Amino acid sequence: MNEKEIIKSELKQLIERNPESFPFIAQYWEIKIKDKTTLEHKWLELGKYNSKQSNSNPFYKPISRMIDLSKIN
Amino acid sequence: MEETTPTQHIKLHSNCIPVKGAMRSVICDLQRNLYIPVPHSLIDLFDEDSLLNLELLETTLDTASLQIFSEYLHLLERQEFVFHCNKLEAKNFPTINTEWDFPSQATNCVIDINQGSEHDYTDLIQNELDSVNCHYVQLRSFDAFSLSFWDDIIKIINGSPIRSVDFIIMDVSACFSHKEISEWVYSNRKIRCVTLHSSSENKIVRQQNLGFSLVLSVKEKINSPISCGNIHPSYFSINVESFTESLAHNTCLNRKIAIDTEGNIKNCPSMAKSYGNIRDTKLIDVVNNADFQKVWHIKKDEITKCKDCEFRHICTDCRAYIENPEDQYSAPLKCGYNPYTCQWEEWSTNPLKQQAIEYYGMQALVKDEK
Ligand code: SF4
Repeated sequence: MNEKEIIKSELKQLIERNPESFPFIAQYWEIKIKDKTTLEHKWLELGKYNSKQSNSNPFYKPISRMIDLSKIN
Repeated sequence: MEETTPTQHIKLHSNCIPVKGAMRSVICDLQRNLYIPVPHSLIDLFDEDSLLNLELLETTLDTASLQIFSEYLHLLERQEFVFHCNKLEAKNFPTINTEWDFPSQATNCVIDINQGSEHDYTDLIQNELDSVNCHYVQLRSFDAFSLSFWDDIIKIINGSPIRSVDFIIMDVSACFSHKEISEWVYSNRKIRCVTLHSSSENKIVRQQNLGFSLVLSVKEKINSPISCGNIHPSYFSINVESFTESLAHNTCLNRKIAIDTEGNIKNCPSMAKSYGNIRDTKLIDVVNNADFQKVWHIKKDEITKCKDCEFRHICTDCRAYIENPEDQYSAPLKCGYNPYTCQWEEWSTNPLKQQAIEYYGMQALVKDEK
């Protein structure tokens, strides 16, 4: 087992042993172990009332359709 | 008494909505951005609550039809479009509300830029777009600009209520390298996509991350809004917002604001009618103008050809370039789909479209594309 798998299984065991310390849904969590990063997380500013957001969301449809995708493989 | 047999019925998930075209139907999965084409006869088996009684079906269909049905059932099950239930359980899964609204007077904005443009980006982004609560913007440039020019704009966007921005930029190696543009995109997380046009090759310069930070280069030369309005399955948007909007509104122009290269405020940069110039007209006044809103209500169900197309509620419309420029309910010019044969063909060589191509002065564009 690699290091990530070991951490994963330890976390699973921790949830199993202490169900009351975690949300009910924790038994179904899919656990992903991320690599350590030195990059500082940048917040997105929303311009008003000092509001900030961790991630943004894209618009739900294309705003315009300039590229003729039928010409691109 | 309600029957309780667990597997007597199948029901389409509420987010899986069938749409009938002239020759076939599609089931649109509005949650997972998928659609599958199916025959009308399959859709007709479901009742108005998207419920199908399997037991009853076995007594009414002949052996050959049952065999075909079981193959489709297998497909629907594999794609998780249906689930098994009884009639009582089915009541717990009501149909989704198909009303559309959005908490903005303008949902999206296109800003066109060339060397002659004199837009005041600070006022436009911080005051004007904010006055209509517009959070989604696309900037399209037809000339070469340095990276510092784009950087000045993104700095304004970064401190504004804008949530996501797309750039369509001319790729000029003298202005920036692909590495520089990738790093710039990486450090400005409101950028959803940068498309570099007039490039030497079609390629993905930087992969997207959680729907953002995508950089693409394309060989296509974009030097005016005339390139816009392409219809292609890759542009389909299969989600609740688009689908419900399309039931009552125009899927391209509804609540859209456009600023052309000269600062004219329009429904779309490709359209002729201007409602004032950004120098002296407030966006809020234009958006509230009843005449400006007229095109918001041209639905796909009213457009020639589209009203017979099974893709009509997932396809974005185009009202700027249409097959018959005299008829505002005419189909988008740049659509090569034929809902009567279910085939995609090259639109630009269609003899019936040549008059409109000439009308819009697209001969050079079409020649370039061939
Ligand atoms: S016929 Fe209309 S709805 Fe169908 S793909 Fe073409 S433009 Fe879209």
